[in-house]
Amino acid sequence: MSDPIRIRLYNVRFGDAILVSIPDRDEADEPLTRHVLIDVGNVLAGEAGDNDVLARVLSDVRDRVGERGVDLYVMTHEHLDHVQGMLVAARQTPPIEVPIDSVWLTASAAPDYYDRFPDARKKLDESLAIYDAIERHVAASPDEADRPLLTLLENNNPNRTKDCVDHLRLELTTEDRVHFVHRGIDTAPLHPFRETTFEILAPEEDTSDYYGRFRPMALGADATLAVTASGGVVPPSGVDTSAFYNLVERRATGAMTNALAIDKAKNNTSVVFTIRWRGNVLLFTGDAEVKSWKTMAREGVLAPVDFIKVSHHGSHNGTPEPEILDLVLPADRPVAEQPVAAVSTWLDTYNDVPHDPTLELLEERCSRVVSTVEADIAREVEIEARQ
Amino acid sequence: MKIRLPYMIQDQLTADVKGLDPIQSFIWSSETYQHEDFLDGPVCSRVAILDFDEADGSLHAPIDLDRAGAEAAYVVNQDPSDRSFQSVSAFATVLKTLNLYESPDVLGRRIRWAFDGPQLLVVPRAGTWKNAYYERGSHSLQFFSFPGGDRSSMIHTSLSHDIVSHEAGHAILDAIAPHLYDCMTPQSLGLHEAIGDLTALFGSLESRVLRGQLLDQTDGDIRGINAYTQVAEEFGMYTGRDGALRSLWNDMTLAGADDPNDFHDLSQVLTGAVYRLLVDYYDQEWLELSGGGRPDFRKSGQALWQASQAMERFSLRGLDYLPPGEISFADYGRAVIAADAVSNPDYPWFRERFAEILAPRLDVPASSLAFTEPPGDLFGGPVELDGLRTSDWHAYHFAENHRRELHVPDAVPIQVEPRLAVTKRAFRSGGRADYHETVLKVSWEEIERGTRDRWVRFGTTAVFDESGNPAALVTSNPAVTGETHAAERDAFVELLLDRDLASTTDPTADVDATLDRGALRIAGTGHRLHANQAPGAPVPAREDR
Repeated sequence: MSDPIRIRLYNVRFGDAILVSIPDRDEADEPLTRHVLIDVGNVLAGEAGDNDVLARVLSDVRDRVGERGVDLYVMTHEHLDHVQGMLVAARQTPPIEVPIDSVWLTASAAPDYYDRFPDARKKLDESLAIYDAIERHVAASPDEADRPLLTLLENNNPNRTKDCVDHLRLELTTEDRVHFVHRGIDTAPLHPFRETTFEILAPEEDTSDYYGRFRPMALGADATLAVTASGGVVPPSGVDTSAFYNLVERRATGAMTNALAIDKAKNNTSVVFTIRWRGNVLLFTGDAEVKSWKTMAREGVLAPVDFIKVSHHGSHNGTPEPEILDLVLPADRPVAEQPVAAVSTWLDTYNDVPHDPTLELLEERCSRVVSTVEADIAREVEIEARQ
Repeated sequence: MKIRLPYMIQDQLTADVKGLDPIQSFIWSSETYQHEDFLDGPVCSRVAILDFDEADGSLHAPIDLDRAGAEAAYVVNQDPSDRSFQSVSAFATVLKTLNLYESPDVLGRRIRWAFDGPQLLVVPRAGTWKNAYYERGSHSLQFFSFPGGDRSSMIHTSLSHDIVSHEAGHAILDAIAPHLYDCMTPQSLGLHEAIGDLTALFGSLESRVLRGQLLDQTDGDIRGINAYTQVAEEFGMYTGRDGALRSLWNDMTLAGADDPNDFHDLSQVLTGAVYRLLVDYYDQEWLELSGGGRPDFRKSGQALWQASQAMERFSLRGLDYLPPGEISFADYGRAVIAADAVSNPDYPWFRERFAEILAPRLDVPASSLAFTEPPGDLFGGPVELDGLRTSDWHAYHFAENHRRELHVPDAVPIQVEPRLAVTKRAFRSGGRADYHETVLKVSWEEIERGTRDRWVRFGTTAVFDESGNPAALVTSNPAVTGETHAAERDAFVELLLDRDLASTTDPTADVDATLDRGALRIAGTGHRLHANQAPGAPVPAREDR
C-alpha cells in the first residue's frame, strides 16, 4: 500500500495554516512526496494573536518539507489570518526560510485586477471608505469597541494585508511562478505535480458581486454614544427620548454590521479548490461564505468529497444550507464512506465561532470532525489511496 | 405664530450651472398649517433634527430659535456650507413636504408615522457615504455626505431638495401604506420610489422662483428634459452617472424595462405618466389662459401653478385609496382615478387622460383603470359611520359580514386597518367644496404558489361619503382585477434569496425571510429603498424586527 496523503492543520490560534503532503512523482517518475502549503496566518487582535505561534508553525513546516521545500503555496484570500505567516517568518532573526516553487493567489490580488474590473474597483473604494470611518470611530473611543470588532478591523486592515500579500507575490518565488487563479483556469501548467490534479471551484474572476452586501456608514464615532454613567449624549429638549436612544444604539451597532460586511466580501473571494489524488477528492474552502457556495452550486462544480476543510473556522455562514451541503457531503452516505472534516479554529475570538450547530451538522455527515482547538501544534488527517 | 425656515430648493451644483439662487424660505404659520410647537433644534412635535458629528459622534448643540420678531427664526447664516444651515434646511424641507401631503386638497388629514412614535428623527450628516435613506425601525431619515469631484469639498445629500423631499416622501408613504414596506412585487417598491420622486417634483413646483426661472429658460415649453424632470442631478453627477438619477420625461413601459426587478428604474414608468399628464394639462391651461390663440408667455406662470397644484392633488390624494398589501401600478392608477372621481365627479378630464397615458405603459386596457361607482345599496343601505370609525369590533364585524362585497375570499383571516376620517377640499366647477370621507381598509393573506410558495397580502379599500353611502371601492384581489403579478414576485424573491439579501438562515440579512406553515414569509423589503440605486448597492443597517 502506498503512503497516505497527510493533511496537517496547524494550531495558529485564530487563523489557517495547512500543510498537505502528497505522494507524487518526480520528473523521472520516481516516487516523491510533494507539499502544498495553504494560508499561513493568524489575526493578532485579542488573545488569539501570537507571532511566536507562527514562527513555531513555520519552523515545523520547514523541517517537514526539507530542502526541496513547498511545491505549491496557495493564498485563498486577503485576510490577515490567512496571509501574514510568511512575512512573519521572513522577519524572524534569523529568518525562517521555506523554499517555494509555485504560488497561487486569489485573482483579485493581481496588481492590475482593479484596472481590469472597474465595478470591483468602485466597490472596493466604497468598502475602504467604510473601513476608514469605522477605524476613525474606534480610534476616537477605543474603550468602547469590543474585541470582535477590533479583530475584524485588524483582519481587514488594508495596509497590513497589502504588505503580506506583496510579500507572497514578490518574495516567495520567481515572477513566472506566481499565478492569480479563479474558476475556469487551467491549473495543469501552474504547478509541478505529476499525479495530482487541482481544480479551482471559486471564485469567478470578477468578484465584484460579492461586495453587494455592504451596509451604510451611519456612524461617525457613534458607538461611543452609548449612554454611560458618566453621561454620554442626551436627547435635545423636545425629542422623543426612547426613539433617540434607539437611534443611538442602532448607529452604534452599525460599526459591527459594516465590519462584518467588509469581512464577508473578502471571504467570498476565497480560492476554493479540490485536490484529486488516487481516487480521493479533497476540498479546501478558505473562508468561503454562503454566497460563494451558492455560486458554486449554481455553476455545477460541487460534488461529493472525501475530505473537507471546514470553511471560515466553523462559523455559521461558512457552511452552506443543507441542500447545498448535500452536494459535497451527502447525508445518506454509508458510515464507511463518509468523509473527514477538519476545522481550523480558536475559541472566544468571535461570538459563535466555531458554531456548535454547524459542527453538529458536519458530525452527522462525516466520519469525524477534527479540530485544531487544544492541539499542541497541529492535527493531522491521513487519507489512504483508493486506487 | 409664524416661523421662517430657509431651505435649499435646488442642488448647489445644479443651481450654479443654471444661475439659480438655491436658498428660499418656507413660512410656517399656525393659521395655515396644523398645530405645531417649535423648539431649539430645530425640533417640533413631529420632526426633530439630530445633528450628530460625523467625526466624533457627539451631538451638536441645538440651534436657537429667535422668537423676538414677527416671524420666529432659527439663528443660522444663509450659507449652505454651514452645518447649522444644513440642519434647518433639511428640517424645513421635511416639514414643508409633510404639510404638502396634509393640506385639505390632498389628504386632508394629519399623518401618523408608520412607526410607534411621534417624531421623525432627521440626521443631516449621518456619515460618509453616497446615500440617503428612510429607516422605519429607527424612526429616521439619514443623509450622508461624500467627497465631491475634486475631493476638496463634501457633497451633503441633506442639501439636496430632491433627495430630502424624496426620502421624506418614503416616510410619508410608509405612514399611508405601511404594507408596502414588506411587499414582494417590484412595482410596489417602484411605487415607493415614484412617490418619492413626485414628492420632490411637487416640492420644487411650489417654488415660485423656481417655476419662473424654469419658464424663462424653456420659453414656457416644459416638454422634454428640464430642471424639474431630472431627479437628484448633482447626486447623479457625483455617483458615476451621466446626470440625474432618474428622469420624469420618458416613454418607459413595464414591458420595456431592462430589469423587471430594478424598482428604481421601474418607477419611471409611473412618474413618466404623471409628468406627461402634468404637461398636457399645463399646455391646455396655458392655451386657455392665453385666449385660445398663440400661447402668451405672460400666462405661462399662472398655467404652471394651476397645473402643478392640480397634479399634486390628483396624484397624491388617491394614496389613501390604495388597497392594503401588494400594489401594482395599475392599482395605483385605479386608486387615484377613483379619488378623482369622488373629488371632482363632474370633471373627468384628468382621470380619462391619465388612463389613456398610463394604460399603454402598463399594457392593460384603459377601461381596466376606469372608475365604477359602487351601487348605493352595496352594503344594504347607508353604513353607520360612527361605529365603523371608532370601534374595531364594529369594523371587523362589518368586514366579516360583507366579505363578498369587499372582495375578500371566504375562510381567510382578515385584518382591518384603523379607519380614516378625513375632510378634503375640492375645487369644482361650482367653486370650493369641502367633503368628508370615511376610509375602511381590509386585507388578507394567501399562499401564492411559485418557485417557492410564499404568503402574499391583498386588500380592499372602501370609501364612504358623509352619509355612509359607498363612494368608491378599490381592490387588489387578482380574481377581481384579472391581473396577477405572481411571476414578478417569483423572480424578485429568487433574486433576494440568490443575492443573500433575504435569508431564512442568516439573521443579519437585509430582508426578513421566514418559513411559516410551509410557505415563505418575506418582510422588510423596504430596506432596499435608498438613494444609491446601483445594483447591489449598500443598504440601510438591518432593523431589529
